[in-house]
Amino acid sequence: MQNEAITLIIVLVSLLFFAGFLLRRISSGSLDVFDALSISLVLILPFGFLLFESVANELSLIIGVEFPFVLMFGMLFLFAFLMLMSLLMRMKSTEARIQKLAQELALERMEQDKKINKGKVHSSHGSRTHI
Amino acid sequence: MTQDSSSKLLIICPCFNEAETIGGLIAEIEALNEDFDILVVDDGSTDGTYEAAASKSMTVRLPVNLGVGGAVQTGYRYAVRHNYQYAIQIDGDGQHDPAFIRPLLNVMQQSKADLVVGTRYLEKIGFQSSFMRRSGARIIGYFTLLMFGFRPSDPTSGMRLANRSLIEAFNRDYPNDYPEPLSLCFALYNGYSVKEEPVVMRDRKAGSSSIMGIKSVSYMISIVTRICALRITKQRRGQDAE
Repeated sequence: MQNEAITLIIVLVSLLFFAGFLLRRISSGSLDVFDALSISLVLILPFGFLLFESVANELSLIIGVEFPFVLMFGMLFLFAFLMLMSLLMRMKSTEARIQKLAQELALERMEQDKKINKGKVHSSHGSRTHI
Repeated sequence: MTQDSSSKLLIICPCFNEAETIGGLIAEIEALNEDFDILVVDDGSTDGTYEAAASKSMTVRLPVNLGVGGAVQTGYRYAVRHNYQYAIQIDGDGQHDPAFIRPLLNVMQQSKADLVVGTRYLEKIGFQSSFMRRSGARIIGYFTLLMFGFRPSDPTSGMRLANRSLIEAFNRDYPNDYPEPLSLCFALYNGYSVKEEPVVMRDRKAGSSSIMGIKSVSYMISIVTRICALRITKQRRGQDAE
């Protein structure tokens, strides 16, 4: 019982430190709230398993897993996989937006250069007739 | 270049490090004495391609290398902006003979097709590429037939002419990876009509293909997977992008 309490305190303290770290990141704008919550699952999930041990045991029995920690790691892997998938999809959409931006920028630059060159030709013609 | 290009054809030349060949290609196109506009899309070259092309024709310089799909789409964006009726893609490496632009345009105007693809495998004249690539093209062709009911003889051909409605669709959405076979499937799937016209392709004048050896096998597997995914998910990409 005492050992369990010590484990609980260790996980809780780690969770608080981690939460502090995440909050700092959120306030500085380098991490999105939703992303922070997703990352927090790495600690929240084991904490939940520790806090509600009997529920975890029941759940693993229902699913057919012998040890609750196998279920816990399975869930963590699933979350990690979902997070990775969401990140990849967001990366792809960002890539598409950057590509469109690069294309529009290049076309705009060409049009500007064309205008400048046209202007130069006109002004050189003008000075020639003036002379 | 005219302001209103509603009846005109734009030649899109995507280039990446083609300084040796691009000047000659532009000269060849100009020698045709046709009323076509050329747009060279320099896809972030480092060998002076931009300088070689800009002195002779309209040239867009992409700030970063986007790959052939991104470069070609830049051309379609330009074609939409300037109201071009037709746009043809011709590789900057000199493999495609500009003399075949007019025959492709004639086929499009007569058949009212939305996309006309220049194929090297119908009459088997000129550069025929390696056995691996030919086999890959055949497999991709059969998969396209299976999924979309049309068997392209040269699905990887980069010489293709699109009409206005397809230009607009490609402006909205054009595949980045494996653009030639996938854009063909995209056109077929969205109900655009596709025709093929035999052309003679030449061997590269400089550089080497990026798809060789074992890479051509992985290229083929990736394309086949993407074709199946496109068909199975029933995703009308052009409409989604809107």
